[in-house]
Amino acid sequence: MRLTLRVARYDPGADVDIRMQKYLVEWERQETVLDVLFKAWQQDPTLAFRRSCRSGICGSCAMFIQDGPRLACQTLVGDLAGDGGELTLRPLPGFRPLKDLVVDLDPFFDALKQVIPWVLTVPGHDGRVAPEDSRRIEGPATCILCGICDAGIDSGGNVRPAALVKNVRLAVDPRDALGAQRMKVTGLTEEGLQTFRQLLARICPKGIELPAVALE
Amino acid sequence: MEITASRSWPAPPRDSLAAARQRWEDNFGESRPAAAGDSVFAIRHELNRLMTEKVGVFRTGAELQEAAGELAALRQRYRRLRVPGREAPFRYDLVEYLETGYLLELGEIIAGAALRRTESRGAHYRLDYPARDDRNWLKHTFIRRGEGGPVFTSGEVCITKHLPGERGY
Repeated sequence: MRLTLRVARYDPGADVDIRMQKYLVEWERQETVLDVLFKAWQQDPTLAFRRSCRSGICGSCAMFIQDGPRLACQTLVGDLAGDGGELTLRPLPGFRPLKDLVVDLDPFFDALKQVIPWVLTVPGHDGRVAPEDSRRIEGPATCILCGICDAGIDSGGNVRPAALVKNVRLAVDPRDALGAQRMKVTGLTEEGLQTFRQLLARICPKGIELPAVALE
Repeated sequence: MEITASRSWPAPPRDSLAAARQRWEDNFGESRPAAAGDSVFAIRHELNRLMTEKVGVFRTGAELQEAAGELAALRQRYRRLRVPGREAPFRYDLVEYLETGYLLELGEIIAGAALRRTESRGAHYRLDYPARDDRNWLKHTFIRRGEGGPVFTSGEVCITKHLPGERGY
């Protein structure tokens, strides 16, 4: 089967804005968007895009695919296009493009610092976690920091989406000295948090479900 | 530390740094013809296939010998490639070129060491030498870079508390 890939190109040294470049590629039913992007790259090795693991664990290949932000390695071409169809790839919206599909991730990682993104251990805690607590942590701990939630949805509160996920993960950790108090920084109501929970479930490539957390 | 303490490292050839620099700079020059119809992608793909098919866990001397020849041919092709530009941010084609060069070196090291070791041990299984051979091969393999490719030597194993022996489960 054939496919026209329309890919955003941007060379900061030469372009003032993004321009779209077309690549004609062959593809097969089981292939992902990343697979066909590799084929475009072999036609034109100057094309820049981040990737590493090819298996939905590193979060590097987040980009705007057709109509929304997705992981290229986890999106099947056949789910978005047919034989002779077209697929459009752009850099993640809300991020500054650096070159082609590569965006500046520094503000994204900086935004995490707002929530003190590590466990502040309760003094004297033995470190053991009960299985039911562990299960609550597990959802948000699956986050791979790909940036897709920041690109696609609003948190409705004071911190950005990925930082909010990290904050919830720490707020439900029994080893953490701040615990539920961490939720104060978000400025969210129970209703706002519930809205975010639903938006996240729809967009997150890891399918993260946020656990219930007490808002004080 | 004990393994290496008894052994002094050979001094690098005096001109090797200058030669390495020259090789590096040549790769960016316009003087080298790009090999028509060849690409770093094709070479890397063939390297992947070759290493999986002939240098996997189960090996034979004949296949390893073939692999060594094919690796040398891939290296010749690699040498004829021209990198299409200088270092700049997000030059993934340059990264691919550099990685493939290192993978070719590693391929030669793995195939060469496997060909030399005429016994089976752990994840190195020679179908033509299925038994472990402590008499000849209770040895380390040392590999250093020579002018014409990797140079292999052996070193004694320092045995302390646990005596070596065939594993039984």
